[in-house]
Amino acid sequence: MMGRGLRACINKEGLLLWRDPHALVLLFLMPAAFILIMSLALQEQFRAGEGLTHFVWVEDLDESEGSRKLLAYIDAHDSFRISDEEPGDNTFRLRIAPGFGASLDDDNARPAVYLTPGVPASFDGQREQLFLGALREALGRARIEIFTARVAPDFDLDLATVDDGLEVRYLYQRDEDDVAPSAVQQNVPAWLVFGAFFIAIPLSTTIIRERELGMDRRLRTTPVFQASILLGKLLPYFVLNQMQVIVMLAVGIYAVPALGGEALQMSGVHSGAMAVMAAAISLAALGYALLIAVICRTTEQATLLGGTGNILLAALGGIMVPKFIMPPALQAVAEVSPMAWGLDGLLAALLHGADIAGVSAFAATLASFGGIAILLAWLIQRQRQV
Amino acid sequence: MNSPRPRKHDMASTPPLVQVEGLTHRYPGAGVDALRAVDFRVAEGEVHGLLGPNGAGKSTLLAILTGTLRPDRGQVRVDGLDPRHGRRLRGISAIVPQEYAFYPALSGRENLAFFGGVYGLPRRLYRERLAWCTDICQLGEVLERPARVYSGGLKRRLNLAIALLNRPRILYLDEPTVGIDAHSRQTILGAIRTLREQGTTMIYTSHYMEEVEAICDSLTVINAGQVIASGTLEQMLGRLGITRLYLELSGAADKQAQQALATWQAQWQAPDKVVLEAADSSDIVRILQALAQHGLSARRLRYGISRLEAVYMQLLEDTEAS
Repeated sequence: MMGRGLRACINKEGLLLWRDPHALVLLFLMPAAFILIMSLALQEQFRAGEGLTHFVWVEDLDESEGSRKLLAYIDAHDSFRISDEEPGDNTFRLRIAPGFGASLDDDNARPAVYLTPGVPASFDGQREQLFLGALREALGRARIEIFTARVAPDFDLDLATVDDGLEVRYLYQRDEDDVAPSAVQQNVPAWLVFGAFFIAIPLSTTIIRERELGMDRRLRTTPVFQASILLGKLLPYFVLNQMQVIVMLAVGIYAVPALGGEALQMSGVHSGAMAVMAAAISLAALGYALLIAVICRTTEQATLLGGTGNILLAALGGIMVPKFIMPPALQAVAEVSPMAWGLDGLLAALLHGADIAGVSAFAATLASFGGIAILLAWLIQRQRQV
Repeated sequence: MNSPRPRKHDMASTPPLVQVEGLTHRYPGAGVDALRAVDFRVAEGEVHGLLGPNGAGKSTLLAILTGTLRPDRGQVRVDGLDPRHGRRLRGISAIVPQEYAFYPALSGRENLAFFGGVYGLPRRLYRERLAWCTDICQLGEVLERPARVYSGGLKRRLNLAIALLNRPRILYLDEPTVGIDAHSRQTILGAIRTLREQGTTMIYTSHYMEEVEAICDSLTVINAGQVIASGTLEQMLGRLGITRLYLELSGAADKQAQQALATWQAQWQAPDKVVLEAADSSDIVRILQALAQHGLSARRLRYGISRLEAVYMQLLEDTEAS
């Protein structure tokens, strides 16, 4: 009986899901779109934190020894490269005015360069200041070289190889895990967790609709086990969550680079750890959905609570704004969101190659949340049925 | 599969399949009892009508009988078992709820397949039952269509077919013909008659008195959660001690004609309209003969169709008055 009843419940739920295109769009297209948009839009922002190289497109109207030296020093800088390619959004455009080389050797002249046609609006002030600093450093070195050549022509000076004499010592021990993710590494797991929790809407509304139709009362008059009804409802959504994980990873691996972004790297990622995290996230999402289903009386209430609840959990949990850029107080608050536990676990697997033991704490927390939520939902429902 | 239907005169001696004693229930937060000290019995093979106005407690009673609601006090036994703890009982019973309790997005066949699985029917038995219940409910031609596009009548028939799939020994029907067309109503009543002949015990709630009178062996009338009358159909109809005949005459009756009809406790509503008490068909023949002797005939005659309704209304009026 358990077998037949359970099979019938699973088949029925699968058919209902398959015939609900809105739910499938919500569960697959929405997180996929978020991954694509956010990974591409925030690519540069994330790169800035890891020492992004900017390109400099040059219009050299002077073509003197001095201008060539200036450009050589800019090119030698860690953060800037001279590029011949058509300037893009991430490129500084530099025009060297005629007479620039001569002015370097003239103590009374001020060499002029132009950022033209202007620094792109997308560049922040810090990067502009960094570029101006690099420009001044290059100008200074070019001047010294020209001055030295004038006063001591036989002296072989190559400032590019001169040690700047600065030794940097870090006063803190950098944590091995303290690695900022790239845009795609942050956004794939983030929106994957967000999408997984969105099953709260279709699952809770299905349960409420059954209650409105009188299906739950009718089913309680049949010999089927209550456990079969519950499992028959949860298992298809669990499978759906696992399919979401596969699809979202595929979006990160294939679709994001196809649109010009950075690909999600899966080499070195422990598949067992990913599977454990995917299962734990799903369990938490299922529990959350069941709680909404028993708390809400109508499908409208469930849609509202499920939607806004998800957005709040996502905002808190570092889905929309990465936790590492939140102020410390907010980072502490983020720890209450199950989405944060899911995201941290996935980041541990994706960024640091954590194995099953490495993600077990995150998975256990999520599973406990899911288990408690399911138990609470069952108790509330039982209380209502007497 | 089912035992043959016991003859009516055997029912009194048959041990009750459903026994309800002192049943009392009040919903949390409610000011009054939904049911108060309700007693009744239903014998195996009997069709028992449960009558009462909206809010009388019929659905609460069915919820308790089917084990989905726990009563505050009293005892319910169905086939000797407490419905709340009788998984075996759920295997031999089924309910046709007032709501369309199936999935609109699934086809009729998919809904029936789901319930076949829920009832635990093996594949072969399911196919047999599917053929039987779709035939009896005349659903064959629409089985592949999504249930959401069914008419109200087809939805009621699918609701019944789902319950029949379990081939129940006891079937609870909660207003199974409400709001549907005449064809679907006749189909459902035909199915119920077939089940009645096959000995299925049924507890039937409806507001259509002629339906209840046509198919029920016994009745319980409840009002405001209390049983106000209970007994066989004959006992209930005999409560008024009369059987009323409504006559519209071909013309106005004169004094002699009115005196001739006085034997049947005539109540004149107009010179050509009278209500008489006719115990049986021979009384009706005598009344028509008496009219003919005074040059009158019946232009319209109404007898028996709403006899139960008259009894029912009288019972409710008496309760209100007391």
